[in-house]
Amino acid sequence: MNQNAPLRVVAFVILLAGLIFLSSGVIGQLLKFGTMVVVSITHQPQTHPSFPDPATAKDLEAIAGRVLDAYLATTPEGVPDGFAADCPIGKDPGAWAAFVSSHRAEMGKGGARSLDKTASLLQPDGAAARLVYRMIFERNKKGLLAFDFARIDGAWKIKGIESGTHVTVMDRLEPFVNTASTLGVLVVLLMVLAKWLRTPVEGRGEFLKMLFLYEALTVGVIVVLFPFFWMFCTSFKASGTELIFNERNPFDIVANEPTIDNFKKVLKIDKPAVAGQADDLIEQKNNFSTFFINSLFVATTAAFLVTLFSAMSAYVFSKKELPYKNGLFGVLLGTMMIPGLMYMVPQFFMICQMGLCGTKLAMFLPHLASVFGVFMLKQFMDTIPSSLLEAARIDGASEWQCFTVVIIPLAMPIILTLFLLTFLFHWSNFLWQLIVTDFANPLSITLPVGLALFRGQYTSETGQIMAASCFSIVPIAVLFLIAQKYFIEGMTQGAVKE
Amino acid sequence: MQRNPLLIAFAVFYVLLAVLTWSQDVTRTPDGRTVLTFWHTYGDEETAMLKEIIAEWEKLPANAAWTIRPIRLPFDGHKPKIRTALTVGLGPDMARVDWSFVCELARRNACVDLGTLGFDKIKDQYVTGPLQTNFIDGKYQGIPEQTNCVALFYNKTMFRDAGLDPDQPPKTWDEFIEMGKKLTNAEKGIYAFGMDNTVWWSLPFFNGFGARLISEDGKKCLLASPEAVKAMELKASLFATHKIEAGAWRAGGTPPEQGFQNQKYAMIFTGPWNLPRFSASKLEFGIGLIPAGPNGTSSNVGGNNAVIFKAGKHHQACYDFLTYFTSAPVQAKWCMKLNQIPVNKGAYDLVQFEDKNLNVFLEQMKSTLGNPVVTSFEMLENVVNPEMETVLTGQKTAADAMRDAVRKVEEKVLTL
Repeated sequence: MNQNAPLRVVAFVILLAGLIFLSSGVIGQLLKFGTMVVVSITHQPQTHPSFPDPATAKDLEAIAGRVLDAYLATTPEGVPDGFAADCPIGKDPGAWAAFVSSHRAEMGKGGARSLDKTASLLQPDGAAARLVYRMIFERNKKGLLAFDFARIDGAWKIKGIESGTHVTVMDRLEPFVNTASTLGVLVVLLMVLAKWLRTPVEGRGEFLKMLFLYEALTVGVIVVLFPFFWMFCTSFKASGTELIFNERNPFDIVANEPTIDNFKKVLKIDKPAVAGQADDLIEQKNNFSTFFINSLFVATTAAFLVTLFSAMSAYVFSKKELPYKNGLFGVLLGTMMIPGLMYMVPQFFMICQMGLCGTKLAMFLPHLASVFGVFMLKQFMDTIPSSLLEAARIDGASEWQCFTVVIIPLAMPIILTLFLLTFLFHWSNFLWQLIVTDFANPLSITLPVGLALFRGQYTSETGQIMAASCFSIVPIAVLFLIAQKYFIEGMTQGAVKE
Repeated sequence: MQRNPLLIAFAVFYVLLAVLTWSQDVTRTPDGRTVLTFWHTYGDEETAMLKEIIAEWEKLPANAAWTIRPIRLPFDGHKPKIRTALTVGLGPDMARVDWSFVCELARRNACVDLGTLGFDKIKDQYVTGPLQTNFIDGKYQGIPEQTNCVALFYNKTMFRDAGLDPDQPPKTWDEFIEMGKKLTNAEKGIYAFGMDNTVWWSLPFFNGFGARLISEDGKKCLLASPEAVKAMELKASLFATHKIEAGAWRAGGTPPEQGFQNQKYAMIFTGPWNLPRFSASKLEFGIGLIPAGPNGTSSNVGGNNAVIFKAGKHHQACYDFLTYFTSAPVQAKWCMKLNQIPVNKGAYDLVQFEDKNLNVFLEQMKSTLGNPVVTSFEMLENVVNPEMETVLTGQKTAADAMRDAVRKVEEKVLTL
């Protein structure tokens, strides 16, 4: 046993390294995500504190003062033609190049910044100027940083900074998040170490196995949940910045300038309600929550009815005797071989003839007869012993009672599975719902069709689509969580041997 | 019988949901005018502007009998929606459709020949490229309604870093290749160019060489012409010979727009729709014309046309509205508000964009040629795209691939 001790220590060290790697990644990103959510609520992008802070501002003013004074000094009259309002400083490329190179050390700080000759300008009176820096932002973006200077009391002072060029709240909080993340990793590390030390030597092999298992499972969880995490993070990004990645770490996808605008736009709570005309009311109600409620209604109704009808017919096909039962069932199965798209136009025609086009009933009526559902439930019901039904009948149960008291509880796992599958189908059924939607009444629009409205011909509102998707996964997740519990109960109820 | 809590919870939830669903309904009150339905695929901002224009049109004394009801469809689903609606006679009076859809609708005999309504007298007001996409089987079956084209977007910072003048984008393909070599740093994953490889995105190459893809009568595919082969050879050489293209067109490659936004590609072809996004991402970029080929600079045509359906009853009123909507003053107003390219030549003198980059598109639009008119442009893409890919990957020569493409197009696309 002791011969394996050095090996175990080596394995433990390797696993600890893995643990540090995993926990720093997970804890770091989760903390940043939490910070992002809080910052998105407390600070809208336009209210993020401006860069620079007072000390840096003073520094910049000193640099700019020297630069601008030196430039003015190079001109014979102090205010040359080149200082016309619409004329950039460096009209003469040669003079500009000489000027920039002579002041490179002051402005450049290692070449990360330089003046932009086409955008920098001085006003004709020589009292106001705009200096446009080209610089590398602290994180991942290259861009322009434009400062307006004005000569006040003989000195150049920063008058304004072009919006959008600043260090964000997230940038400022980054050191704290990193420290908290490090502390979190340390806590995890200490807990594992303490557990390792408390574990008797003979139990350490098992401990290592468990540690490895947990780390492997964590990797699995990361792989599965990463797309969702990406979705959440993207939903907090401002329009136009969704596809920008951090050059240093492409997996660092937390928004740097988070905003909840996407959620507001999706729910149409970014503008005040307009009272009055019907059109305005419709426009106001034509939002994601309407789509969501419509879809929830359509999917729930469809799933319930499909499950009910499928269970009833499956019971007949499985437990009752009727002429040509198997042949009839074969014909039903045969219809599954025909692609559903083939029925689409005739079904649409029939729905229109019935006067149902544009109603919620039209969204699911043609799909209520589910051969797949009947087939699935019948296969399961075949495994339920007929002796249970006989016993129930001897006890005086009616046909309906046999079905509801004996069959349904025993078939609950498969019934719930069918419910889930049907719910999912209708929750995301785009094409049929698109065809039968009456767009003249936008309040009949369901979620898959509503989400398509966020996609334009050439560009998509990715942030808004992701914000809407955050909401749209909720019912599915809730349904799975509830159903999971009943699956297990159903499984034990159905464990009967003939 | 034992009460099942799950069932009770479900019943309560369902009743609440049903009440909530039906409480949403709001109905419009008719105002006595005849309603003309207009299906469109505009975004929020465009829809608001459209409503303003409709209100102005309805106020004109000549239009006192009409009211336009704009109905918004998702762009992604407008084709199946219109197809099925027309099948059962529930289509609109008029619709805004993708330019490539007009031909299919016209050949299904769904569109009104606008010549009968007087369009021949005013057709010259419209920009040539988008206008041509409506000329099907000898008739104008739609009105250009919104248009765009692609131009060359370039990253000024990357130009500066490569020692190039950030205010001088390449004007010819020779210059493009020369600059491309300076801009490319394959080791760092930085390339001069990222391109798509579909028919529509390749039209700037073909048009620049003066190559037409389909004959005017729509019966022959001309992809094997010497001009088309040369255009394809140039396109392939950017990737295979000069190695200045990143392979953005490959499955798994970084798409051009994403590569450009992340400063991996110095130049891409894209349209005005990306201006807000690129500006928001603080890129320092410029826009130039598509590099000139032997036939000069040229681009492709995107956008939408408006069609009037035969099934509707009020063709003249629809036509009057659409010609008003695309008239020079209305187009100028629309385009300046929404930063779009006018379809009416008269509006070019009236528009003044705050974003000067849009002027490049105005210039580029003048030299665009009409796209190939076929019943199913999707099918054309499905047939030709794989052949073009074989050239880029070196599996076939451009001449062989284009010859094969001609055979397949004439078999599968022109027979539709």
